[in-house]
Amino acid sequence: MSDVALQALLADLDRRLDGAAEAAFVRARLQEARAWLSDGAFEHNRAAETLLHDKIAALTELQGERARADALARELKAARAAIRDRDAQLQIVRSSLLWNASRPGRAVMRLIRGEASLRGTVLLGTRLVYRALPLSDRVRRRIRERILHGLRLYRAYRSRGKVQAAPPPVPAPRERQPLAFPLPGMIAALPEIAGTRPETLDLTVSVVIPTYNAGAEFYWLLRKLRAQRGLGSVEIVVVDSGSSDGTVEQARKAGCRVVQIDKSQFSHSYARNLGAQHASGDLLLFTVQDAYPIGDYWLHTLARCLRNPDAQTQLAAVSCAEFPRTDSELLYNALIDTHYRFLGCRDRDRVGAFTGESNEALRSQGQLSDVACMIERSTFERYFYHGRYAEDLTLGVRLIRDGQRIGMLSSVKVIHSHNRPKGYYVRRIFVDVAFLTDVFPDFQVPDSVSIIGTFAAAYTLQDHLRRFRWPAGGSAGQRLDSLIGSLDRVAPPALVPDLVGQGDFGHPPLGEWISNLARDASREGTPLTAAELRDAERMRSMLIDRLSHLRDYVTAVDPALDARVSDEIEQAVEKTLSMTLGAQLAFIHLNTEAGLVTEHRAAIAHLKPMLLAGI
Amino acid sequence: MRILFVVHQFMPEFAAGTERVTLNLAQSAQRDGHHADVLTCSMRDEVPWEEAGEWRCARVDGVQVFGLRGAGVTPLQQLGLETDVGRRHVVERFLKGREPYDVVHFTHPMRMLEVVEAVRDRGLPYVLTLTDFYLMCWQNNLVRLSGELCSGPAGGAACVRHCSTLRLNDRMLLERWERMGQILADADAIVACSPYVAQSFQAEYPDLPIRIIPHGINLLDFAPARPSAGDAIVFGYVGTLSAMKGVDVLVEAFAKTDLPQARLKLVGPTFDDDLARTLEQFASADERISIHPAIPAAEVPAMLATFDILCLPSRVPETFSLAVHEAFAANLPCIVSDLGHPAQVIREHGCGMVAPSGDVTAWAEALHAAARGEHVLAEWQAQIPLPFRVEEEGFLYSQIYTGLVRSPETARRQHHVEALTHA
Repeated sequence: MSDVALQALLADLDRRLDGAAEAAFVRARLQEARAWLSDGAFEHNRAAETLLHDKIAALTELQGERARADALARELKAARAAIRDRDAQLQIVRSSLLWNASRPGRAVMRLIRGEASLRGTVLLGTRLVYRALPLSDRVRRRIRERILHGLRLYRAYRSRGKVQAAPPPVPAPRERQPLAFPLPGMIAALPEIAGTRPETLDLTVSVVIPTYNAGAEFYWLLRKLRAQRGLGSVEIVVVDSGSSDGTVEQARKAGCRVVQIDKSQFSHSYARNLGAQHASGDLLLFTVQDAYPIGDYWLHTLARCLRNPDAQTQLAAVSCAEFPRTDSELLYNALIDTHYRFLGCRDRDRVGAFTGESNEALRSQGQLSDVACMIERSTFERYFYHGRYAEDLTLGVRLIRDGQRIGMLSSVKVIHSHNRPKGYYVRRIFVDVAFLTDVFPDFQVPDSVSIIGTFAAAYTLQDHLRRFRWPAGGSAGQRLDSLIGSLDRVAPPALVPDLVGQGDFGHPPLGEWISNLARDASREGTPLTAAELRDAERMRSMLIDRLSHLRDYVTAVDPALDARVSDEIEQAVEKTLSMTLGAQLAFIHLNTEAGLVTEHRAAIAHLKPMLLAGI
Repeated sequence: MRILFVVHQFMPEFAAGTERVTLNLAQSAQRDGHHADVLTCSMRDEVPWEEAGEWRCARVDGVQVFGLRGAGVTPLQQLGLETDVGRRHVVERFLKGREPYDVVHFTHPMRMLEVVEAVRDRGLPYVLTLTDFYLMCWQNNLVRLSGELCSGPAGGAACVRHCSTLRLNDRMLLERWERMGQILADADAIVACSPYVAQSFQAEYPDLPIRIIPHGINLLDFAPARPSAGDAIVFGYVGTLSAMKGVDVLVEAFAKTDLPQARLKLVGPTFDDDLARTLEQFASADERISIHPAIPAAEVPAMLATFDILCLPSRVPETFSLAVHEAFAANLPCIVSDLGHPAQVIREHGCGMVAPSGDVTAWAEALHAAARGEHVLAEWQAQIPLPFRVEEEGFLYSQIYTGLVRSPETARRQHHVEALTHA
């Protein structure tokens, strides 16, 4: 409301109230209202403004009502005086001898004229007789009590057999039961949520971070680590493999111990082992340059999992699950969800122990994560990291094979996730599959052998995805369901399609590689062999399986299907195709090494170095 | 897990602080693999909603939003002085018609008290986030009608004594206090956005268990660090330009300073014509002062990057102030008034100055003190606390939701409701 409008309102009010005392009151209220109106909370002000108008209307109405009320009060006063006069006259009549002597006669006359009931007359007569009898007050009181008792008995008799109406349903009473942390199924809780004041642990934690061009965000990680509380001290050891973006300078400025290695020396195990050798802490915490702890007692809480004398289970190492960043992609969220369900840490803390030598048992029980992995330094120095890839999983497997227990927590998490291009997924899944067979001899590799069949199917499926017309309505899950249904109807090509320059699935060297292979093979237009058809069919069924997992995740989350979500789903589908291709290429590579593949062996030998570079 | 967020207003109609916090939480829950909807009150007919019978629907950045029509909501309902049975039935039909929610999270219950009642009667666990003083004060900010600060409702007696009006009589105010007290008492988890809010509520309700989870900032939007100011120090303000926020005090204080190289940038909307005229007069008389229109939330980091110090001269106690915490993310020290949470933070960390609310002379002195030299800013910058991240806030709430879903009390209540339904 503008000031002009307020002034007009005020003047109008003054005129109506003619300078009465109420004007001052309302003016004061107007000032209050102006104070409210200066509040930026638009709707709140609107409510206050409406109230103000209500107040003014009510006040105006009150003036009219007051005049009417005054007139009515005068009429009421006169009426009450008249009633008092008549009551006095009636009292004189009722106290006269003649009036009382003639009462029985009047009663009989009313009965005869039908103006009174027999019951009423009898009651009146009884009452007169009762009053006339010379009884003491005590006896009269006893008689009254007996009569009332009799009436109660009579009423109870009359109401026999009637069902009492059910009371209205009431909501369940709410009993406050404060949340107790750790929650059921958990072994830890951050003090920020548990509401506890943790005692400082008198020990040093060394945080080991391999870096390479860590970027602007690295600043936040270093600050967060420096802000950790509840520990004797925190040491940060940065192992940098040739950054050129100021990572080293930033780390030194933040007081980190910096170890520099050549880029060619880098491997996940080597960099971490080197960092551990330069660390002086009682406990080691391995993390990555794009992770970020949750809360100020994150290190403390992980340390307590290892150094808790009251714990029923002593842990040799503990990792925590990831909580996705605000820029995390849909596919990564879905994959990590599936992975954590497999590990048993989706919404529980998993304490892993050796349960058997199958790859499923070892993977689900032995998984640690280098995004955040804490271990006693003395323990680590007996094991160290091994291998070029999945060094965290192999460390966990070795620990549980030795009878140790290790934790994978969901009660404590670390902020970390990815938004990767589709080319990354071809390579990542190739590495994962190749690694699994290296470490777990019982890992079953499908008998895929055909590059031609695989790429014929991959391009056919890619073409289908590009041409697919997404349904206009429905939920995100229904859209994916529709796509999966359409894939069921995609037939493998009868003839080898043109495989030159048809696409690289996000990894340009791969496009070049398959183009060269196709040129050399000169198979375009020839029928696919039985093995090629089988591998083409495998590509399709693997894609459908992976998309079905994605659909299940999306159906549970059920996001509102707007432009952003639609775009994310389409990208996730493309990346899923890249993953499927990466897996199939890994199978063919492994079968080639096993001597099961006879065609294109020389070309296939180049696959592994091409896809592993930079992973 | 299926989570329903309930808030008094939301996008696409409004996009202020509480709305951004609610959206952040809903999206965090989605990324964490949960289903999240928002239920709000739709006050504007001109905004493009999809009409869906008794309520409206909208999609906001991947989150499904349902709007209860607010056209019939009376001022008394808005201020929490009465509820509407008809609206309550609409809420019940909404809850009944959808796949059951596991947890309901009220990020602001204004205009949504019927939802609280319906949720309570269905035995659903609910979380209350205290973002302001609405549940204790019909004015929201614990400031009396006289303009004095209020120490709390004192069982409603203070409301009767200091904040009754012609329409808001004693009985209504006392009933409001009781109704809100019951909402607090029945909540399964209560979270305050700052220690200041928690302390204020616990002064009135000493037994109330309140956790503190600060609102998160999306750190990824901010440049990590910036150098201290040169000769021309830039004081900035971002938010609604209103007398309640003390913008008039700031501009008057700045006009009094003898800092020829300094600048004052005021950024935000104004709904107060008088104040707008006053600010324009100051700006036209002093070229060091500039006024900028409101900017979208996504542009705030870039705007903050042009400041050297953020000023928050509020006349009312701020319960949190996203602007101050975003300033911390931009490595900006702050000068704030001596009311509320920002003053507590600045005093605790020494990352700026605290000046008396409404005191022009004191504010002018504070601005002078900040401009004494680069070393002052550098010292303050070194003390700036690390803001909480959106993801941290989301994770801590996820632990509360998980705890409530696993609580035996929730199972007992659900069993009771089912038994009643079958009976």
